[in-house]
Amino acid sequence: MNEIEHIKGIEQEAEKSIEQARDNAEKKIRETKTEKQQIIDAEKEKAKQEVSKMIDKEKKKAEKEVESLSRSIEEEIRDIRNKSQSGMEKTIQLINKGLME
Amino acid sequence: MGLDELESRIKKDAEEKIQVIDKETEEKIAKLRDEINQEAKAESGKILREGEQEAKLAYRRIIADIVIKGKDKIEKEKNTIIDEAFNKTRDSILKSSESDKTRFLNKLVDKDKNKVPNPKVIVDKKYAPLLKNSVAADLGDFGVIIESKDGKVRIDNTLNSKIERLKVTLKPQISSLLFK
Repeated sequence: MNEIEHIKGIEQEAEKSIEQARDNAEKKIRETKTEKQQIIDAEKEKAKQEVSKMIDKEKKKAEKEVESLSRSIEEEIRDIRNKSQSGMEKTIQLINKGLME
Repeated sequence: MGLDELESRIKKDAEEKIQVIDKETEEKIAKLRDEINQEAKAESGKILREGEQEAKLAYRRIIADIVIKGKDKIEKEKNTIIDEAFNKTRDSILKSSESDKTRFLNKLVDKDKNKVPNPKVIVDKKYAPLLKNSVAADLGDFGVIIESKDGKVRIDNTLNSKIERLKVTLKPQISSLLFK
């Protein structure tokens, strides 16, 4: 009788261990599923930071270009002003003619 | 089968079952992690692709803005130079001799007098002595206004009005002389 009881106890213990293993397995899977959104959010955050860096980089690149373009514009304006002086006399004559007509 | 052997068998079976459960769990978790990583990569990839477009757009927007402002600045400078030409012409007329002013006023009258029935010539009181048979008024400008006696027809040949009209009609020719 004692032997049967002993074996039953061993079986129950074994069942308990298996049940425990199943519970642990389910817990691990649940935890992994819970981590899912955190992992995705972390990746998205990393991507957003990367995008922010890309935008800053492009803006800096554009600002350098703007400096260069601004210099070109100022230079063009100086050229326009200088060149216009040679045609100023003829322009005044043309306006005078227009006023008389 | 002895009792010890039976006990050992039960324990071994349980251990094997636990190993199978652990292995299956690891496989499930590995599969889950793989799916999660793929989904995370897809989401971050989308953000990166859109961000790349946004960054390029930000660059293009800044450049387009300076190009437009530059063109506007150049256009304003050209208009300023054209205005200077008109101002110089106006100054030279206003600083010319009395006889030159008289000749100018007469030309302004002769040119359009025939277009107005029963014309009267209105001149600013400051210049009225320069033009015979003119009516003095407070025009605040050099030049003449030719008006029919009934007031129905009126030609404004004051300097400012003529200049404003010439700014439109002569602009292509002036631009060609000054800027080409």
